[in-house]
Amino acid sequence: MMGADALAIDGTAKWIGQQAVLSVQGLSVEFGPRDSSVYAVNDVSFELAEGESLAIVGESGSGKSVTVQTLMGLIRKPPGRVTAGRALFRGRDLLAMPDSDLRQIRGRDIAMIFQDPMSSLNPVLSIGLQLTEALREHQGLNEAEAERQALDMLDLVGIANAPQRMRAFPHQFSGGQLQRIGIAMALVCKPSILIADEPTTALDVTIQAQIVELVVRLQKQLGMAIIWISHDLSLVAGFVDRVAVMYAGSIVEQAPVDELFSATTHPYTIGLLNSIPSLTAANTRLVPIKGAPPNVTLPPTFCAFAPRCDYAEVRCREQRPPLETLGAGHTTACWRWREVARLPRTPAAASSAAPAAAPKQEPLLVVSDLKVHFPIRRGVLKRQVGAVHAVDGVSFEVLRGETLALVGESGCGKSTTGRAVLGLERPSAGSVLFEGRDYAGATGDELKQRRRDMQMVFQNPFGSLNPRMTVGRIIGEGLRAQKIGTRATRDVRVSELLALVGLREALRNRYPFELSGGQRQRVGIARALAANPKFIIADEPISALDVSIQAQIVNLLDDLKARLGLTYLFIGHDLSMIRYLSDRVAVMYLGRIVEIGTTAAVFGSPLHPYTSALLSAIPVPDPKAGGTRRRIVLGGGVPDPSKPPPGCHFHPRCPMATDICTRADPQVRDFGSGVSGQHLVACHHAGDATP
Amino acid sequence: MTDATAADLTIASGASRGLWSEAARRFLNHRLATLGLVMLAIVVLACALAPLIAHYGPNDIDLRGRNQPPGGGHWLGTDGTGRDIFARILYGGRISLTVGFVAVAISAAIGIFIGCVAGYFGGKVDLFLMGLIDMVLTFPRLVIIIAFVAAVGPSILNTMVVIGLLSWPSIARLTRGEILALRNQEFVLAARSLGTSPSVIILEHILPNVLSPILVAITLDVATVILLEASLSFLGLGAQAPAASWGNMLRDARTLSILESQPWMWIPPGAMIAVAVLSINFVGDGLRDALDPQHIMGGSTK
Repeated sequence: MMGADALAIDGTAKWIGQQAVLSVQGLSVEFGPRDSSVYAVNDVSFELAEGESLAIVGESGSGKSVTVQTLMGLIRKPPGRVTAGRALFRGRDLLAMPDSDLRQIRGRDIAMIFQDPMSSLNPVLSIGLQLTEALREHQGLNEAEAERQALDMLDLVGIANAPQRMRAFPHQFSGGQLQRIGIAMALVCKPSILIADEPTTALDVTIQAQIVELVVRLQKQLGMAIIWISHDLSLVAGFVDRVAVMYAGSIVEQAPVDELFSATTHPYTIGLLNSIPSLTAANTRLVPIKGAPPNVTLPPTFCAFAPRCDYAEVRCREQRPPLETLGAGHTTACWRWREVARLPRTPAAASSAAPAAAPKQEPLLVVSDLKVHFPIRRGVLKRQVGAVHAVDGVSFEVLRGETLALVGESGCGKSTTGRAVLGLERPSAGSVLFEGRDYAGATGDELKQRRRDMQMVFQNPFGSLNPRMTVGRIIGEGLRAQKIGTRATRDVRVSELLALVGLREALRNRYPFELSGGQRQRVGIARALAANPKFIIADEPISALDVSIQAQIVNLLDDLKARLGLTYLFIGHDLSMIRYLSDRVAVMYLGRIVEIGTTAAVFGSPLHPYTSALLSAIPVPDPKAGGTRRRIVLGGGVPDPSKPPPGCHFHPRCPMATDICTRADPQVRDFGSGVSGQHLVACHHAGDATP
Repeated sequence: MTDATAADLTIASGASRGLWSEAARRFLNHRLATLGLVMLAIVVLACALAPLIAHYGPNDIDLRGRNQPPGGGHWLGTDGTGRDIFARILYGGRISLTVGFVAVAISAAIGIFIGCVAGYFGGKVDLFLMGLIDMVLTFPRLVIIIAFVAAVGPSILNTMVVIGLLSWPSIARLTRGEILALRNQEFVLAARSLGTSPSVIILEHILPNVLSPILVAITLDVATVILLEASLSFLGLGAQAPAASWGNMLRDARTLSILESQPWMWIPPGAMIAVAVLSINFVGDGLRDALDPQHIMGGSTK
């Protein structure tokens, strides 16, 4: 568990077997009644060779999950219907097979791991029982033999102390460990195909790196084929052989991974690649795909991407483009791919809004030694028995006009910090100076005044809007709460705000459930801007959105900053996005800031070992870089914040930890220079030779 | 992702209707609920329009026509003092239904208020109010009511008030639980961060979102209270003679000879209680299904 393995993942591995273990031909799946069908999967075909790894990439609603669930016989019928197609597993059609035969294949020959490891394990059965069940079911092993194999498998997926852990229940494991167990469950019967349905989406980036590494290692050891479902093109770029990109139920482009990135032919794939900020290139403006994900209630008789496509012509709206073969294993479904392929890949960046005027060096917000502790109470009398140190002495400044990003893994206290600054959580200690006035622990009118100047954009576009209010009411709420203006002037202001965030006036009387995720997030932004605040705290505002929508929202935030002279505190975990949009970065670990400095300095020459590990775990949208880059894979997970380790909180996972780290809290030291600006690091070994 | 996909598909295919009209549509598609609503409407209307429907007053005595079986001038016959059973059923229904609705209105008002305060503010306030709720819940309801009515004298008003004052804890508990679940939702945080006052947050943001389960519970409570009033009247502690209520009509019919040979005196009030309670329960079940936000919002909550 301790320390870290540095290893290079060989992204250019070639699969050995050439025979297809799975061949899907013309699969179509519809949902709902025949007269108002939802066309979830349309004419999808792909082959999977023995030992090959294929990624199916697409946004939510693209049909990627439905496709594999259909293969596994996991969609409910009705409402689901397979209207066409075959899926041959070693020559046998999975779709025509009786349920009892499919059950045999499922789990033994084809296994699946899921996005949410917690909900895919039964909470009331021990891990050991769930593991051995499959073995006894499929391989008819006796109890002792099944247990032995289960233990081996737990060892293989890196669960320490397996004999004891066999008797534990799912809630006693961390998210990363649970996903390892989910993988062990899937692999106990040594399947020939492993289907991974977004297995790392719910996990932190350092844990994601662990899981990817594990799956790649197991694939080599067991020689199985993998179908990896993901929304993240950059993640899969590093380790799969081939990629199939899905859009609105159809595969639009399929190619060997190198070719997909170097010789992209479909406008949607190009759009996806342009929406991802590059870690290496200079900060050019993101080029989002316009519009919103498609409506799949129309029969697929035309190119579903046409409404969002810059190259669309009449033919695209009338006829569905067939999948054309370009070369070895490269197919694309676009009428104009020949012209598209010849275009330069990054369109001359729509002149990035003149690099926002250098922030004045005057701090707008000064947070010093902020602490937020949540008491843990037990017993009838609610005696306090401990405290969760969610935020444990955090200090930072936000300069007027800049974007400060607060990054870290889940549970590091970054959201709590944001909420405490806004007064949604009561700080246990420390001060929050906004424009020179201390607001820590403010209440009543004082707090109300601050909320004119400071607003928040929330993470979840589904949960942050009251489902029973119309869009107009939601946006106008801040004005009503602050008693600004009359009813008529507020109405006018709501219209202004709708236009400002790029929403049609007609949406004013709609309810949130009628909007797409991107539209909802725009409503959330409009609501925050209603009372003309100076400072916006954006709490992971894009992490719940589809990739092509993320770029739209990021660009919107960028434009608003320039137009309205806003200052942002941007809380997030997507480091490539943060590098793109922030001026300075603060890295948090377990309630403390471990490193803070200008984005260029922190990303260019990280000094804290945790920052280095985080940065190396970022997936790069480039299969070549993915292969050569050195990754530092951190062991273990984030410790329990109610019992933080003594000394440096990071030492149990740190590759550089020495004796002093276990005893003394590291002092914050400035490694900045006149050129790079302030660069504060809290590490005993910062500045020593890097690992 | 698998759920989200399915939900997105539903959203994409869902028509753009208002939340309430969508709920109304779902309610009317529920066959038993519609039946219950129609039956309840007929009963309520008949009771409200009693003077227009019944040919006799509830207390008109027809001395020559005592103990008449149904038929002839008296549709449902007459009782031992020659009063028209049909008229008494309608006028009695006024009392029974009024007690049901008013008592539940009182208990719902208290229950929702206490539940909101306890759930939203939490902490010591919550601890105190939960103690109060537990205390009231431990009272044996019927015994307290009997003692209270015996002390202040039996009357419809007293019955309503005392039932209302003793029935709120279940609604308060339910409200509190629902609010606890919603209190930390992002949209409530968002409202707080905008500077919205607690009362507005509770009234505009939280209550509309927790109303459906509470509404269902209230509906079902009405049925319970109608039964309770019938029991009280049966014991002689509710509506006082000569006024009729379904419960005291049953009480008047409780001799063995009537039970055996004059069933028209007890079947109609018993049947009315059954019909009213059953249809209210059907309506409650229908509301529960129709207002389930998961169906309406396409399962958008995490």
